[in-house]
Amino acid sequence: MKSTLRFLLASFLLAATCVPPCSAALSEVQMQAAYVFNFIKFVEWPADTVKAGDKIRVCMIGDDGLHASLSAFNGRKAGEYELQIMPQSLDSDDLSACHVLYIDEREQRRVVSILKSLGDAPVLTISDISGFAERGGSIGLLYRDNRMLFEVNLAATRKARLHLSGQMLNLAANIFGR
Amino acid sequence: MKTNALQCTILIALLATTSHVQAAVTNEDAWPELSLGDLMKVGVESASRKKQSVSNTAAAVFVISASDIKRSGALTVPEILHLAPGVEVARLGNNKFAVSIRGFNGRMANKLLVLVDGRSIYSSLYGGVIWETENLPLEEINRIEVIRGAAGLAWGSNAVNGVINIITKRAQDTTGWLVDTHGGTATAKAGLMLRYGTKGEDGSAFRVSMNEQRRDGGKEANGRDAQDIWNDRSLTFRYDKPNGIDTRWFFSGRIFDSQSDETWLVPTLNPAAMYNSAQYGATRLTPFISNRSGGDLLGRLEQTTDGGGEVRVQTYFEKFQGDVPSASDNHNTFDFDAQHRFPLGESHDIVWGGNWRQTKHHNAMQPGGFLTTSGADTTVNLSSLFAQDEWTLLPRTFSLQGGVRVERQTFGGTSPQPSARALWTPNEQQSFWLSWSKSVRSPSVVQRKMGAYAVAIPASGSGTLPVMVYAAPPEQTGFGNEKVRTIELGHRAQWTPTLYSDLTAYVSKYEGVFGSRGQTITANNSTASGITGLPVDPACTAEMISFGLPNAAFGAPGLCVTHLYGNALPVRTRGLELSTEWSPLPVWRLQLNASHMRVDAGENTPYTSNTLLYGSSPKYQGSLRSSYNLNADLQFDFWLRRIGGLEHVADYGGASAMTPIAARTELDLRFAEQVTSALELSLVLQNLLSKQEIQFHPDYMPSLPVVPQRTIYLKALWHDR
Repeated sequence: MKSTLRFLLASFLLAATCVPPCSAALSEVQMQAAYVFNFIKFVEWPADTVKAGDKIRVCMIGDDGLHASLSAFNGRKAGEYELQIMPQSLDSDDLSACHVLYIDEREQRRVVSILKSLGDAPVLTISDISGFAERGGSIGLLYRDNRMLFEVNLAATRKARLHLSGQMLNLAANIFGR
Repeated sequence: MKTNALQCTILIALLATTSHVQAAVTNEDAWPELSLGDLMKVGVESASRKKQSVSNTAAAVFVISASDIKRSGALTVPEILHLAPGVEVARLGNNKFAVSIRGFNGRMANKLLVLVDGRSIYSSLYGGVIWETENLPLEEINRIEVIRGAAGLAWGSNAVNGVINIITKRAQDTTGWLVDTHGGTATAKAGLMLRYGTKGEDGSAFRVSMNEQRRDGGKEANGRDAQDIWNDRSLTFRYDKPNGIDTRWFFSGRIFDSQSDETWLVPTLNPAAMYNSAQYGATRLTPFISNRSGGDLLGRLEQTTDGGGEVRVQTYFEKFQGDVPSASDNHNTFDFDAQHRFPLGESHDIVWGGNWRQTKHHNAMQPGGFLTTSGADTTVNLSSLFAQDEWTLLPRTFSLQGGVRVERQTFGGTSPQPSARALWTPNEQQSFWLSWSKSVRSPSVVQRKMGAYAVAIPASGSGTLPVMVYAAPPEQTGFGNEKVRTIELGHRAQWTPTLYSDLTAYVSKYEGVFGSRGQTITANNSTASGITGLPVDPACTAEMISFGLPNAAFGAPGLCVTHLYGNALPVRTRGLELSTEWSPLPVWRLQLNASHMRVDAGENTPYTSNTLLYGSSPKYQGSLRSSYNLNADLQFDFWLRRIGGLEHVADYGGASAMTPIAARTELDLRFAEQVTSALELSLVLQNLLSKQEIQFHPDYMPSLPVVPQRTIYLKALWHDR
């Protein structure tokens, strides 16, 4: 029994390690979608809005290509929540009904007014607009050389009553608003 | 035992298939399985990065990224600007550049506004950029936005042909130690940049860098070594502090010091003093090392407002001193700028604000030197107010933009600079835009108060008298603003995920461009007057003596011509600018740029500056740049440029000055290897197809024409993470 367990553990470990080259490249929209999926695993929404097993509404503004990549995650489980990828948001939609909102770089002129219109609704806002986290977004995606990293604004997530796990904060390139 | 053997076999089989399993995890279909830690290690296909920030702008914008800068192998900002279509860059020597957009190029090209992090770097002395002193470490540049066309509304005067907006990286993105050093030949002789950055617990970050560069060795057109050194050093810092959700502070500062060669060809009537009259006319060589130094300090506050708007307040202070043969400039600048952007209703986005800048110049001229000023101390005041609205009629499909800036400058008076634009985005892949704008260029200190003894024409064998030509300070004709009205039409398309194009067409009409308004000719004494019938001006004798003709004191005859410059010429330019990008493979990126321009400046007469206008910019330019990643660690880049010839001839006479400049082809190559995760080595060859010819005739500042050399250098870039 023990040796079988050890054997299974060894095989699992082998399968889990990333053998080089791990630096196979992804397209930009695949990266962004994969990041959104992963962030949801590490974020807790306030108990009065979402419970374990509930559906998390993921909205986005601005880009067909990214919406197509995000749709790959529709119905999947991220941690305790099930993802529901909403159709692309129109300006008339009530964005504070979303749990996650991705704002495409195309909307950079409107980004501050979008963030302000959310008030303190528990929405996790993510974007690759430069300076997004510094301006009150929850998570900003940024490039360093040809890799994509992320930075977090804790003052913004506190306002939205979201809790980000310490594991995720350790990986963040920058943390603002501690 | 049997079980063990079975287990071993399975284990070996698993091992054999492990790499396949890993491949399955990291291949195209399994990307959704990547964990957060994995995502941070995977690269993004550069071919898939969208041309985003400019796709919904109603203007001709080209963005040069930090990666473009690195892979071009260029070591100075002017060379990097050549990456954008429609930008003209010529080297007058190791350390002197002529940079412009859409015409009117020259070392003192004055139709371009250049900013570094919001600080204007064009000198109010002559309205151009002293590129020798703007050597910020290239590793600190996040991107350069090149905006072509009249941009006076958004940016103020001097932006008549375009704006170059250099944005440096946030301090948060430059933490740790970085060493960037190179060594090689000619313009890449030696350089060292050291940078240290650190982050604070509150999310703030600070960096400081030291940069020292040494450059050498051009040659004269006849092959002789030319005095062409350029050494400079600078110390810069940047501090970024975001505060909570709404506030961001930004501070930056710099001190610098540079020495560069400024050997000029100064007019003389003394045959014994002439350097090489066959090549350079009646001039003598004045070897001179120009010393320039100064510093600046900038502070900015950005705040988001509850209504969804943003306020930005910025101030900077700058100090500069520098000299050229027979003249020096010492100036202090203070600038204050405030802007407020806010949404109005559902479909309006309004920006309004104001700017105030004051520069105090002190110019000292050498008595009897060939440059003069009508007053040593000048204060230039610039103030403006602007308002602009973007009206979105159909969300993400059609919008209109319009506004006006009213500006007041000491010499140019008050002038409005309106602009109107339309942007139509029929689908996500394409956009069309149209713009009309009027911009103004206000006179600089040089163009109001400075005069120059431009040319000396010695007596000829056939009995003509010696002549001294003087360009009088243009304030005598009341030289005021140059005005331009521009209409542009543009189209952008992402044809396939790997093919992108951006095309702009424009027509510009200029009024009152700086040019000759006529001349007066006088005789120095009664002898000369008797021969020519011209009126006598005794001051002419003093000029003759001062420029190498002592016999004038004893009655030798001569003539003096005084050119009057002012608002003279209407000029029309029109052209096309194209930039395309294609990625045939995910690891290979090609960029093809091309531009064409026609200048119409009316008839060519002997006493106008038409040759300067016609001949100072090439009719066409093209470039092909390839970036190829052989594997994750090895890069090969090449950059081929073709630049049309110039008809402009120099002022000072002589064979060299009269020769038009032939079209040239330039080729740069770069090989780079990421030796370890922290160290990258690269080998760069520049200007490989150089034909040892000059690229541009010196205008206004008559420096000795120097031929840029082929360069080869080795660079090491090390950073800890």
